[in-house]
Amino acid sequence: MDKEDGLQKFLLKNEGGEWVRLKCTWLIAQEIYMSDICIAVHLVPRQPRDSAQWSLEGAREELYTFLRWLGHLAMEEDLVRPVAGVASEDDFKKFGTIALNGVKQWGADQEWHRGSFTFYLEKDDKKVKERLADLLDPTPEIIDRYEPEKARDEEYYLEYILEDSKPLEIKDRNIGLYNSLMNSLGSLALAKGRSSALKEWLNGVLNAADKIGEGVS
Amino acid sequence: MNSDGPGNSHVITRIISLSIKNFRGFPGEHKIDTNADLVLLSGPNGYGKTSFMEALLLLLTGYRYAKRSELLINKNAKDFEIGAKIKLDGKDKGKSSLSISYDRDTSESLEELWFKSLASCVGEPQIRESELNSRLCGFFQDRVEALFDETTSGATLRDIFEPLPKWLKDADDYLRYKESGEGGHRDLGEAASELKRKLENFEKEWNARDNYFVNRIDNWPDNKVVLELNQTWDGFIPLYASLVNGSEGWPEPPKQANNKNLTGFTLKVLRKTGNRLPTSGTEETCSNLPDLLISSLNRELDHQLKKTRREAARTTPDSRKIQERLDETNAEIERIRKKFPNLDEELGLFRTDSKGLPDLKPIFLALSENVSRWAKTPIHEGHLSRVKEELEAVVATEAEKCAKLLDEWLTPREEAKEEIIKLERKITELKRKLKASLASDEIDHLKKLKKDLDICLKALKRPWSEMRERQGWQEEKQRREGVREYLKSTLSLIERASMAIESVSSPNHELMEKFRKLIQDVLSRFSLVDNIVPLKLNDKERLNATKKDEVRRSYSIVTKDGRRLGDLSTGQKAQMAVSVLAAQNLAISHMLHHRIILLDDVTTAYDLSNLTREAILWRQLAYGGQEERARRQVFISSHHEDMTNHFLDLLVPPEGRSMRLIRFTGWDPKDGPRYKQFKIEPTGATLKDGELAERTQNLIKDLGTGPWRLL
Repeated sequence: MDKEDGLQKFLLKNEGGEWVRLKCTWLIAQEIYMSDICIAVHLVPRQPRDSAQWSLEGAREELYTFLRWLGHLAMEEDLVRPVAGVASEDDFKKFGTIALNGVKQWGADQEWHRGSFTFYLEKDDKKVKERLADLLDPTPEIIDRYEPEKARDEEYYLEYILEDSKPLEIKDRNIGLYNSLMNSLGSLALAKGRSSALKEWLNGVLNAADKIGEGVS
Repeated sequence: MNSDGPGNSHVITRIISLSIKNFRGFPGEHKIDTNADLVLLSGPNGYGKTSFMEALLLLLTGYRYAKRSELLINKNAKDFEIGAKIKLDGKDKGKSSLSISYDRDTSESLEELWFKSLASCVGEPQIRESELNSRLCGFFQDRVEALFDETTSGATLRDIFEPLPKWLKDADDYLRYKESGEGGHRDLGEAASELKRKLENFEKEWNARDNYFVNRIDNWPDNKVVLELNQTWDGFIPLYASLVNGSEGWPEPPKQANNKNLTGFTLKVLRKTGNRLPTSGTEETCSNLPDLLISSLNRELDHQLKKTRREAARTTPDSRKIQERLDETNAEIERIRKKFPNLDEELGLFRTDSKGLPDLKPIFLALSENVSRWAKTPIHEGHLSRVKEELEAVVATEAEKCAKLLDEWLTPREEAKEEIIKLERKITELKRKLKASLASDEIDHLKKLKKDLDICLKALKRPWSEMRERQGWQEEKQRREGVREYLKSTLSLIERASMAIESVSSPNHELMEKFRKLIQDVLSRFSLVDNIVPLKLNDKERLNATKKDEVRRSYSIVTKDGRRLGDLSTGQKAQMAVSVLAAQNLAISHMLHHRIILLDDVTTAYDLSNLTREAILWRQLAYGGQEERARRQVFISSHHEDMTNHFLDLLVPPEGRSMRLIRFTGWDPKDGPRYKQFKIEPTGATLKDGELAERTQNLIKDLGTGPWRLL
């Protein structure tokens, strides 16, 4: 199951089974999630009525009070968890560059809330879902993304070179050359580099070239 | 990551308790309960938190930050001991305790002691290097610089996953074959350089030879060479016939002159004259075949001349006169023989048969001159009277007459005989002279032949040698193709091998990207200033850390704006170190023999604003996974009281997980640290069935009572 699909199980729902959404003047808490790891809220800006200017400062104040309040209420109910807010840049673009840059600043410099919660601003809605999943999942997101690597060894290197150096044309001479070089590399590997096998191989090649030139087969 | 993947059969999943005796800031014996998923150590600096962490690090990895092992022993003691009651997870349950002790007199190194202790407990660790093991699990704020692969001289994560054998680097150096498109720049190792040089030298030499022959052909076209060869050959044939003069065994000269025919003919001549080819070269390639023919025929002529000269040396010429004299002498003999047809018989008639006795003529002469005296000789002995009587019967004058008659008949015959003998001697001499006279002409003939042959053969040699050289050049051009193909095939092979070596030695980009993403994912939990992420990892070969048989490599970290590790602030470096540690620990988890993470004074790396983000990560690592192997037992120490309290709130475990707080409250030289231990109750641990849902609904309802309205 995709991690994002797994988000549903952490979604807070009311007794009627509907997911909980809240609104304030400048922000909407679109979804609220809770797991053993944390409480996380997906926040979106609320379009102001009667074409009033959307307030960056007002929105930050609402974000601050809401997330602190959420943490406080959770503690009161003995559901102690860190609290995280997550939003998408895309949702704030419609309020202009200044507003967007301001929101970005909330995510970059978080001194303003003194660690009462944390806030992530992601690129788009997809990233928001990924972040929420990563935060809420009981196992760290990175665990799923890492497959055990097989350590490389001498055999791996030799086999790789053997396979990748194969001649394209299968002529007797090419095969002979290939085999002799690979044998020399094998000797070098076996001797841990303390061998003149490659030099000997080259001398053999140079001598063979002379002999071909002289017509000695 | 597959937590049950290949790896140690025994994995230490928990330190249940830790006992420390006379280790650094722990004089005496101390036993501390650590049986929790997360253990938070708090207290001011100098109260023993770092000693606690170092003891645990030494027990788990065999690594010490102190320069010498003796420095780890508390100054009031002569040995130290660290032991732990542990929980093992694996197919077979191993020992449930692990310990290491060291005294000043021990001959074994701490690393050896650790290795033995660990091997007897969980088996031999897959990663043997203590220093790397320590960097995979332990963060120490005051040694943050030592936490990065790129700054260590020890083994690195890359050395584990993609060790680069030194022989591979040597082979890369020797077989290197790189050509860049810009300006045809080449970076060639010794093998390719040598081969290219060889081919270039060949081409230069071949070019010079081609020019040489092209010029020659311009000046002396092929058809003219053929014409000249055939003309001189036509002149050679009669000279050769004269030389061999019908003798047996000499080869028949070919009618048409070409290299093949002339070569075959020359070889037959050489065989006839007992000459051999030089040891170098074959019949076809022997470059001095024309010279061999010349010298061979010359030698034959010389031989004949020598023989003839020997004859001629004893004689004079003018054979005609000699012949006339010879004829005259023979006629004189004939004339005498006609006059005395039975000369020899007649001369034998009055000769004595017996050896030593006189012939008849001297007998008569002796009697005529002496018989009178012999008859008068006085004889006293009776038996000689008979001789005297006989002598007295002989008439001296008659004896003289007989002698005279005999002499007149014999003398002309004896003189004829003497003349014949004399003439016969003369004939012998004349014959000898005649023979010698004839030899002198042969010498002249042979000399002339030699001269003519010499001129002819030299004339023949010129077009023939030219023809042979040109033919050799054509054959050489065919062989050149073989040389070119051979050298180019070799270069092509070297290029492929070089690319293969470069490819297999180059960073495992998939691994690098995974690792980069891991670090970045952890790092992005910090509230970062702009231009840190996305990170880049560069391939870095650490020449100063090259091992005997292996080239040490690491990744070097570069931020989005190109800053390297050394350019980062202390805080950023610490954040990077925590991220690298967590990423490495997770990446290499399947090879680790334990699931413990130690974070000493880690809150220094955090701003208050980072705490929540990091707390979520540690909660996931400590409380998240269902299986023990998938979780970590996390030890965190902090001296910052405010931050510790805040951290404590954030790390309160959920139901089913556990946390302990060890608060260091003091320290004295005799007894060491004083500390209090607390078990932190999990949140919601006391809730009964159904209460969690009720609390959650309460929370939802409460949410709608403030300035925020439920939708």
